[in-house]
Amino acid sequence: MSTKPQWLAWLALTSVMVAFFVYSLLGRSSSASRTFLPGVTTHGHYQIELKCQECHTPGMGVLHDACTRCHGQELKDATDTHPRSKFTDPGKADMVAKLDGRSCVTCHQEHVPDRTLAMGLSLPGDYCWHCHQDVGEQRPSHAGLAYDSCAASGCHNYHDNRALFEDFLVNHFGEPDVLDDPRVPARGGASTRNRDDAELQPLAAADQDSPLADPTDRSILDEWSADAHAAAGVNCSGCHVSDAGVWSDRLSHDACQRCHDREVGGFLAGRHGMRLAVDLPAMSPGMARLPMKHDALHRDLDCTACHQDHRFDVRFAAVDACLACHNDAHSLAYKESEHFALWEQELNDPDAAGAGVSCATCHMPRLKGPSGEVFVQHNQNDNLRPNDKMVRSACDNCHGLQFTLDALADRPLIDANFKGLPSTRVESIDMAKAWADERERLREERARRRAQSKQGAADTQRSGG
Amino acid sequence: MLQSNSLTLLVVLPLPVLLTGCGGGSAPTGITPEKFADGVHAVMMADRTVYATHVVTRLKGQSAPVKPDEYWDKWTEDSGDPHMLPLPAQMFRMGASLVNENPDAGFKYSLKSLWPLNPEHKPVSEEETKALEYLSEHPGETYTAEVTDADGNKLFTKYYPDRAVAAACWECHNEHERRGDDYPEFAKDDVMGAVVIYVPVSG
Repeated sequence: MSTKPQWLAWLALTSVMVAFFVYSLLGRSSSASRTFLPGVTTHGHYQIELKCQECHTPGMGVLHDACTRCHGQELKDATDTHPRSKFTDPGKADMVAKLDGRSCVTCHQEHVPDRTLAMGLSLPGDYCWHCHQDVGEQRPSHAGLAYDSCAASGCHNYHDNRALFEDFLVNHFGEPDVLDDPRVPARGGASTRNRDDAELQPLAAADQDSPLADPTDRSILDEWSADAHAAAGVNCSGCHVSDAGVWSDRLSHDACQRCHDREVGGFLAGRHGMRLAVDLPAMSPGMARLPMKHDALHRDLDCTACHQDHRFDVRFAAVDACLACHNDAHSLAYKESEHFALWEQELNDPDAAGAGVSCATCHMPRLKGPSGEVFVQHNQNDNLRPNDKMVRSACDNCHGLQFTLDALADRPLIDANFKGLPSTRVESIDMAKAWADERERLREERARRRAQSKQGAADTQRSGG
Repeated sequence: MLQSNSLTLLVVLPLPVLLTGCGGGSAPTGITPEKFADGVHAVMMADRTVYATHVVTRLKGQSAPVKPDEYWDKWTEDSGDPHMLPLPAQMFRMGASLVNENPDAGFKYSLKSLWPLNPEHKPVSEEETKALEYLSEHPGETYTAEVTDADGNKLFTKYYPDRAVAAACWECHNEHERRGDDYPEFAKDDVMGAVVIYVPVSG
């Protein structure tokens, strides 16, 4: 029997296999690239795991700015407690030998799911101990605490301690569970848009400037003319015509970014928009690791997923848009919560503006910008990990710090969307207060001793001693 | 019309440096690591003294609505008093961070103390402890050593006494709630710690 056909078959099969592997390696983010994934990625990165070049050099090293390109500003905003510069002092070579904090991947390795903890930490949870093992000597209250208990909610974070530093805790000691006049700041102030629309006049449906012979159906015009865009003088062409003068029926986030740069920037930085940020097709609930509603699995996440096409109702975006997709315990419990009752009250009572608590109140909080303007943080992951980042961006508009830290440390209460009261008590505020009181007592004692010794010296001088 | 409002910094270098590499048959000369360290230290201390004396102490004396606070970058209008400015030691350390992260700087520096308000700035090696103890026992002197950094590079290292130059320094340290129980009472010109300058040397 001739072996030629066998050789040809072998050659063809080999060629197909080689072609597949070459395509997997060189193809841009194709699902074939999954062949080369060395391990499951973290919750933070799985959406972009097939775009290897976002983090890796062609030789599969890690790009020097792979982490800081996306997370650098976040660390800066957090006034990072352990910046790289803390480890670049040459005198700290011994410390670097224990924990090389000059590099993100010391603590945050990817593709190692078997040893990855919350927040992408790939070190054992007792890593603080290596440098802070003498903390019991500085703070007797800390003697005997478990090695891996430092980062428990309400005590310490490695990077972001804006709501946990000692003076802050002491400052908020003894606050009531609910503060007086609990409400979030009103949006606005200085302009939050990056387009000068001072000259624009409000528009009506008849003013529409669509170049289409049949400017679509009436409902679109009705929605647009009743919406904030028409009120602000933004016509059809304002969104549908590009800077190059080309009309498009379907719009991407780029059209929104022309006026809403900060909001779109936030969206692209969070889990809703991070795929678009790296030129991948939009995220859809079907790809999510969190539980999502079955009838939403096919949807694409762009600006209009929450803000609809022509009726940009922020109240819809604040709750209904979220619950159209999210199907986890916390989301499903929302409508049974006190927060939702307050939200319904706000929808029906103009005097209750800002007193309601929607999904967006906590997850897309209103923040103050550099000019005092209040804008909405559209990165809904910005204050989630660790969750005490929520204290200053959301919770402390309404709640005292002790109540907030207790609630954020109570996982069953979070799952119940805060229906009920915290069953835990975080000790950090009490510890900080006790320590501050003790330091104050010692300071007064020192001042008294200093005064006594001055008095003694003066008496000696007077008596000619 | 002025095209730029930036300041031009004119640095006058010693003659041997200016002559380095010039023709005329003379062997190239330059400044030693120690001379370089002395020079940058002079600049650091001048800036530090001006900040401590003419900014922080002056504001404290005026009971100004802005005051130094170690958490100056964390307070906001909504969470406390936002009118804060960095402490002199923090100002110095922030400069050190910028220089230490700058590959063009060619040297690094830091601030250490046997009695810091932030325990992170205690000496972390036997050499550092020895150097700081030497400075406190020999006021006015410096201490030199060679250290190896985390990457194995050899560094000429010089420790300069960091003195209490302004009332804000010793008053704040003596009164501070984070002051250790065994810390000395500081007074004008006391050695409170050390400025450490690291200059890479070959070999």
